[in-house]
Amino acid sequence: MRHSLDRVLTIAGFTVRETVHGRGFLGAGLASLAVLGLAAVVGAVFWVNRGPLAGRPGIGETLAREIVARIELGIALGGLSLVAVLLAVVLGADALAGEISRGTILALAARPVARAEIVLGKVLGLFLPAAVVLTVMGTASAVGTGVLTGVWIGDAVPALALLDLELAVMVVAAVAVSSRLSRTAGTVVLLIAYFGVTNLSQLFALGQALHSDWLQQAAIWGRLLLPVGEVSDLAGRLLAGPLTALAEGLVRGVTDGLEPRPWIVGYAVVFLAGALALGCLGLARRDLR
Amino acid sequence: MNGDRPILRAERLTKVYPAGARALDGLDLAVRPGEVFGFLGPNGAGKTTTVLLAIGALAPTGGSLEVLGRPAGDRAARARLGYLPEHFQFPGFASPRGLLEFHGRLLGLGRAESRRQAAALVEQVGLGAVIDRPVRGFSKGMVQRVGLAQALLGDPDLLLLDEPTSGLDPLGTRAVRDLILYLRGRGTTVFLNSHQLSEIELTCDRVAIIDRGRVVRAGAVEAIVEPTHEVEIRASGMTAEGLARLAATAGGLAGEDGRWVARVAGPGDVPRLAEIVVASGARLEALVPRLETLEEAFLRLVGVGAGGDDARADALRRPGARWSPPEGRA
Repeated sequence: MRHSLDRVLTIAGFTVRETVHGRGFLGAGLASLAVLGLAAVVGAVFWVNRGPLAGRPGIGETLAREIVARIELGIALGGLSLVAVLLAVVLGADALAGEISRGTILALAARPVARAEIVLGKVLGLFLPAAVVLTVMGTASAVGTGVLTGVWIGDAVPALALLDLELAVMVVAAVAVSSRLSRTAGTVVLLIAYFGVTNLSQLFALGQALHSDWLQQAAIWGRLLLPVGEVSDLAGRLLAGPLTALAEGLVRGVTDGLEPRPWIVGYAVVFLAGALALGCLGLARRDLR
Repeated sequence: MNGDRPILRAERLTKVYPAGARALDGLDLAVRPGEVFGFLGPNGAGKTTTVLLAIGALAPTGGSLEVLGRPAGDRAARARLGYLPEHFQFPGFASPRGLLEFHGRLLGLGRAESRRQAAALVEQVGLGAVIDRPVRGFSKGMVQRVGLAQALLGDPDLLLLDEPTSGLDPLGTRAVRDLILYLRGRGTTVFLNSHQLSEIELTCDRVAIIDRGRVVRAGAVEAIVEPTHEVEIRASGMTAEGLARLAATAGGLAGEDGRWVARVAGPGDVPRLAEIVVASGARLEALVPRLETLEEAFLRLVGVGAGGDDARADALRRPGARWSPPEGRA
């Protein structure tokens, strides 16, 4: 068991180095900085113009500051999460498929390493650097927002944990897909799945407009195909805090019934374990050529 | 390990790829401990497939393959083999030291031992000066040497080399040959998959020639090559009359300055040639029936007419000649 863990960590360590030396990681880092810059600009605009908001009945200066802080943080963490997920898709879809097509997996396969150890090592090696970037930049964003607005958003911590869980699900799904599909096919499948499930609210709204219970149920249960949309919704609601109540009647009305389910985090963890098992099985039962 | 038991044994080994291509079709093979075994065959004959089955990267469709006394792909067997892929590649950021330490750890070596072996092996393949340099700037030959070093990690009992001299210049080729001979001296079994017939001839104890997924001939090189219809004659003091008699008796005579090659119809003509030389008053120094080269034997066994090579080369040199692949092979 200890030797197996050693091998997994060895592969993970090498994969981390491979990831951080890649152009994809550099691009994701730059995109993350751009996201933080954008969030800062938007936050500054709201900050400068918070006067009318603070003057509204029942809001006041303190709540107005919190609202600005939550908007800025929501943009920052949402953007960072999207960048991390896209990085996970691009690198994860190449993790095994690319190694197989390039033939580089053969030297690895000739070592006394189980296929499952290769999959686990790849997952860890891809998840860790992306999660570190997401967590460090997310935390920096929360601290920066706190310093600028004087409001510390404590919900940022569980929200970041949820976004890390979303990232883990995407990394595992991408590596699992790459055990059977080519890099291009895997990337396309994953992007369709990701943007599909994160936009099922459109299908739900259509179902409401058409009074189609079937469409609404399809949207509700379709979100379980890849639980990232619902997990990130949960993070978004945490970050929005009192904004959720303020937005009631504007956008919430059309998505009533599509709220994140209380068991979605547990389901995401089970999904993650299942996808990991499928990835291990997928690689174990195929020729590496 | 029992000394008589093959270190690699294939029995009726078959591999059909999902697309339907039959790479191996009942391959039988036995590699003995401590020998350097050459594996020859034209492109697509199934050489690399056999090696990939041996490391467990592919699953056989039928038959059996044992490596180091265990089913191919077994983890305990993989712990005792070294493998150099045909096109060894690794990420450009890695240094030879980093790569070898990574493989050493996967092999189960401790951190210190991985480090020690990495340094020693990189030095052994002549890359000590660049041990910490990223390989992105390395030549193909340098990368191949790093690959050889990683294959030697852990002092393997069986070394599987898939085209080890691919992309190497003559010096690099010579270095690989010397390394194989050194390993043979140490008792390491080497399975050498190569197109370089001269390399095989110089280094291998036994060879197997495969074609279309089957072994068409296996054994020591001397047992595979056959006598040709040519006899080399070395003699001093040959007269013009003697040479004319030799030419008339043999099917053809070429050469000069005491060294000629005569074509004969069969072994029975050889004593007659000796008689003519002696009768002409010359001093017969040697009369050697010429054997095929391994290349000629290979071409004969895989279905390309061996004797046609010279005629083919002559035809290709003529003005206006057009090239086409040799007959007998796709």
